[in-house]
Amino acid sequence: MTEPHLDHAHAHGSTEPDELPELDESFSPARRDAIASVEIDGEAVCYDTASGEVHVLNPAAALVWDCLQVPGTIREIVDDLVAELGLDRGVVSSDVLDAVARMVANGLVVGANDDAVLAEERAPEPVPERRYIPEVPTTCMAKVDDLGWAGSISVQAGTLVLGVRANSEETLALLREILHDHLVVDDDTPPNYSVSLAPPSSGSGKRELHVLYRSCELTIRSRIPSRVVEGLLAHLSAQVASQEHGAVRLAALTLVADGRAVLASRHFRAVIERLEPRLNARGITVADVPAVELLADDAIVVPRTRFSQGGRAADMLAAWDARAERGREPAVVASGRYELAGLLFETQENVPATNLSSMLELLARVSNIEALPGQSTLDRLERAQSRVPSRWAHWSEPEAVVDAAAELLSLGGTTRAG
Amino acid sequence: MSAVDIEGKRGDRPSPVARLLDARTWGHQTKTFDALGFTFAVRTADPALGAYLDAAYASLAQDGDPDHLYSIVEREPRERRGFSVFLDGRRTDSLDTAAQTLRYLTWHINREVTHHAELAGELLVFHASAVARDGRAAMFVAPMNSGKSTIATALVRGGLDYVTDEAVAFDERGVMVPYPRPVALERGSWSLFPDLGPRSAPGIERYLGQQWLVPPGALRPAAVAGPGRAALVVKLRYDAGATTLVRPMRRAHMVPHLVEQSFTFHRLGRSALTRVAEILAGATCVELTMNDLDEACTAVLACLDDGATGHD
Repeated sequence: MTEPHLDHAHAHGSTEPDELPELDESFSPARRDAIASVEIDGEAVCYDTASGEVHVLNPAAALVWDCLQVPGTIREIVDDLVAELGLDRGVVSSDVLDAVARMVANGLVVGANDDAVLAEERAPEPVPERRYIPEVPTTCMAKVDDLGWAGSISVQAGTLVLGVRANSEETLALLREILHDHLVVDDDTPPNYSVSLAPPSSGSGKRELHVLYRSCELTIRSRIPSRVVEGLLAHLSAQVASQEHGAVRLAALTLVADGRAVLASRHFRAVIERLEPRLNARGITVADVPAVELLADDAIVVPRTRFSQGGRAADMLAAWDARAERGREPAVVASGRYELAGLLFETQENVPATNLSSMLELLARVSNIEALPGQSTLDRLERAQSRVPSRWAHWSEPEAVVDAAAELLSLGGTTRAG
Repeated sequence: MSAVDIEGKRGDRPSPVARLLDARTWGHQTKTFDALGFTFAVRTADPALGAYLDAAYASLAQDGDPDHLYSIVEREPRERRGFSVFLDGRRTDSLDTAAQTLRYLTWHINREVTHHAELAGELLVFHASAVARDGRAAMFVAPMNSGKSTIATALVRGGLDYVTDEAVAFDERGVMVPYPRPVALERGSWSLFPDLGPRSAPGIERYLGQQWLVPPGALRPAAVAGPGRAALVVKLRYDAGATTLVRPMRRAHMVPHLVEQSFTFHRLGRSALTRVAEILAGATCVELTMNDLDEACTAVLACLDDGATGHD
């Protein structure tokens, strides 16, 4: 038997799993109902109808996949293959265990006794209950209301219905097109997000600012329209993810270079926004996402934007950017897994820069704390904190912020903070 | 509302906006065009633009009334200068310049075509260009700005038939359905085909920005292909710093790329996967890194020849 191997050629940027589950021969694998598959030239192409991902299994893995049509344990599968192929049992067992573990890690297969997953897939899709995030009529909110809005749309994000208002008919039309598949008719939706895209430049050379508000907070301000729209999509995606269980979600700025990431205090937002060209020049990009996920192995993940519609939405945004007389900026962080390289905190008066103070700030930035077991959250934050270096800087010293980020990312910064 | 919704069609009770548009004076309404089942016409006060569109989309012209009607309105000088584009009774966008307007219109038409195909649920449509010879097609699958239109243009001028430069559609039998829209040549390719510029269309200069719309007939007379089968599927990549290179690909490994560049795959769900496998079963798959256009065309023709003689 040649080495079974899962070739990961994903349609949507999934990555090779870093950790494989440890299985033994008593494990009973079952194909997920959501997976459609077809054989092409001895290889199996598996399409996850729920996530849209595509996996290609080489001939050996495809053989194992074929065996999973019949319920049974890995032991039974191995026995069948040994009898059929006449190969060494130890080799076959090792290969099958590895192939099935990869299938489990990639979501193609679950345990046949994992009733929860299979029952969920086999149950009729429930009609989602609608929930809202109410907006409190504060003075701050009133100021944003007074900016004047041309209209709004309601977007279904998991069980939430979120309101997005736009400053003009043009902006509204763009958002309707991009969010076409997620629009619902709902007159009760509060204005959770507000998008203001300036009309194309008058040609005077002055480039307009485009902005995104979350409630009344100015969340993104950019001269690139697509950046604001992509930021909105990231926020909407985060609302879906926050309804799911899993990793610790941290509301922190994320600076990325060469597959590594630094989590920075959101207090630096204004500084980093201003310094972004300089950061970009040093190979550092800033993720426009409201939160990232801290995994058990201390890697972090920039969540995939679930509201993007692939090529069509990208084309629309590119067309809008072209009208703004400026191309898309290359400094966009791709969704995926990044190695945590360091933590960057703000120096505050009368608060010593200690592990305790930084831990308190990290804890305050966990956005899904109510959904997680308290001790495991603490453990995970503590382990991350002890494993990577921390730096402190003050927002009034922007050079120190850039240097600290570069140093943590091992890009040759000069230590001026810490 | 998408333009393919039944209640959105012309002929239903017109909206107040549609009635106002109908009351305007128009200089030109184009012929009816049929693009993969999406039928449309364009009306404009500017006869030069109307004539340009008639020529550009001539390969899609058909008899009968359109289901959908675009209206291009140039705003009055006392208003903020610019154009508004309407589809039936719905304003789809407002633009500042004539060049932006034409580019937006052609983009919107293409988007409606793929939306229509998606909702109709029959066609499997990929973001690709394609050419054909004797019913055997080569399709070039790639994201924007990868040279899809450029290589299709060169091959058609070299004698192959034109299928499309943007959206390759397959029906339920796996037959490739032509969508011979005008070739959209970006400025970067103009120097390769200087004779294809719209010199014979006076009055449309202000609509020409970074893109020429080249009628298929201008590439070569009677260049439009009939229905065919995919014989060669090319994952295309343009790299100005690389050597032009063709590498064979396993068919299974082409599937993720096709899914990523599909307009309708996810809508069709499980059945789409089987259809893709059937389409690929009769095709050779390669990855083409393109730098020199002539070398790339020679390589594609060789691959088509190999496939025809049974060398896979």
